[in-house]
Amino acid sequence: MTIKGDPDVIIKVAKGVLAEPYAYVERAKSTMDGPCQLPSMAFGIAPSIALSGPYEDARAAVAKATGDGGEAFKSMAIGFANVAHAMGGADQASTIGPSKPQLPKTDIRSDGSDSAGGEAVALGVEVSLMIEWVATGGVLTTCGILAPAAIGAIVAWALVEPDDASLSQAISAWMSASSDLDSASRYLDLALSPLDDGWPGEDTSRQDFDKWKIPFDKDFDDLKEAPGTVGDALGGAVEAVNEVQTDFFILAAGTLAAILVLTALDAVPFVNIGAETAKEILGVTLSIETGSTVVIIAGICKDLFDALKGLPATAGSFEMSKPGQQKLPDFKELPAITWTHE
Amino acid sequence: MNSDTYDPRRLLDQIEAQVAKAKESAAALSAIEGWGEAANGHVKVCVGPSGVLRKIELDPRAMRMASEDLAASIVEAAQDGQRAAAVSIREIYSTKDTGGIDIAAVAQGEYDPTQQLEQRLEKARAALRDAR
Repeated sequence: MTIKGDPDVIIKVAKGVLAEPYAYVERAKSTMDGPCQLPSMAFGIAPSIALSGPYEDARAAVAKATGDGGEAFKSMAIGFANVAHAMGGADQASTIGPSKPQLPKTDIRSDGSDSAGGEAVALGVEVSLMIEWVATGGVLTTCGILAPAAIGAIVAWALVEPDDASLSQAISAWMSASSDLDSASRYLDLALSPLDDGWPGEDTSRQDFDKWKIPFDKDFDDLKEAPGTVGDALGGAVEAVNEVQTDFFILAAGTLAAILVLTALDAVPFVNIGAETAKEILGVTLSIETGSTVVIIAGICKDLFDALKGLPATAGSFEMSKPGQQKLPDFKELPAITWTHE
Repeated sequence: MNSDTYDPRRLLDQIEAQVAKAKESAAALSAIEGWGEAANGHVKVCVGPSGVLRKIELDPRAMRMASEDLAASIVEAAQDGQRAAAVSIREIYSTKDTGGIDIAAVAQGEYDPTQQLEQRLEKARAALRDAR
């Protein structure tokens, strides 16, 4: 085995990998473990049955893959340090001690706004299902007061009370995690670029690294797509629910207008008898239509969660030691890196 | 449709305006008189919006009719009056949102909810099918 290269350059690269690239991956993982969590009632009681399992499974799988990705970054840097040490460089893996960089803030907030100024990434996502839900609820309540048969509509509508704050936070958190993984990828390319001069291709350990990098890149590309996929699916579901809500609001408002007309006829002798009957029929119909709408909203959520069920299988797993597929450039059984702070 | 549509104050104002219009329409409806005639105008009948008899005017010549013919003419004129009342009711509600309900049929006890109920339920069924 020949060893050629500039150990100082390789140490610099190791520190570079553990600076912004690793920090962005670590933050993406932390975002997925925190703000990406979605309460099971985010779309209301009715869809919660379908929501809780698949979403949480998808989130946990993507978060785990991201954590594995971070570990791969560390392994890469440790490997560089050991290669540099073998070339005569001073630093060993346990002593490279990179400084943790200051990243631009991505203040994910539940109203979807971004309070950070300056360099902060704008990730504002404002989910506004609640305003329409409340308005429709008001219309249905009025219908229920005037036509008691519509009370079923009020009860059914209560089953799809959305949680705008949680939805906004989760969607913007996925966007933030996606952006962080993109940044990690870009900074990694920058951090690795000095290798072309400092670690020639004829060196066998460099060749090992290049072979290792191919499946790593594939895994990381897969991982980069995952948060966007979850965020887009969640955003798509919110949009679909919003459309259903709007259609139903129009229907409910039309029914209320008819109930008001019929109620006004209560004061007209003989006419009131037929009006009362028609009102009750409208109330029953509205209750059935509300029930259908609730089922449709639950169906939209089920579609979303069915789509998410496939994610754990496709998210990058960073199993870098697949026998016969990848060869690690001396990146094993090495001491853990202790972060130092400036 | 914008977010203003869901503003509670605005919604309440809209409902109040609808109530006021509904009351106006109901008042106009209660004042409706439908006149009908039969036997060459010798028998005239006035009905209210529900078809309830309000007045009968018989020309002296009508009294020369056989009692069965006179009875039939009164019924015919009342039905004519009822149709006239229905036309007036429909005019009042022609520009109002009644949810597809024929208020004239409701007023005169001829409203058959089956068809409308079936139409709306079919829409709900279709929406559920699409959602699947």
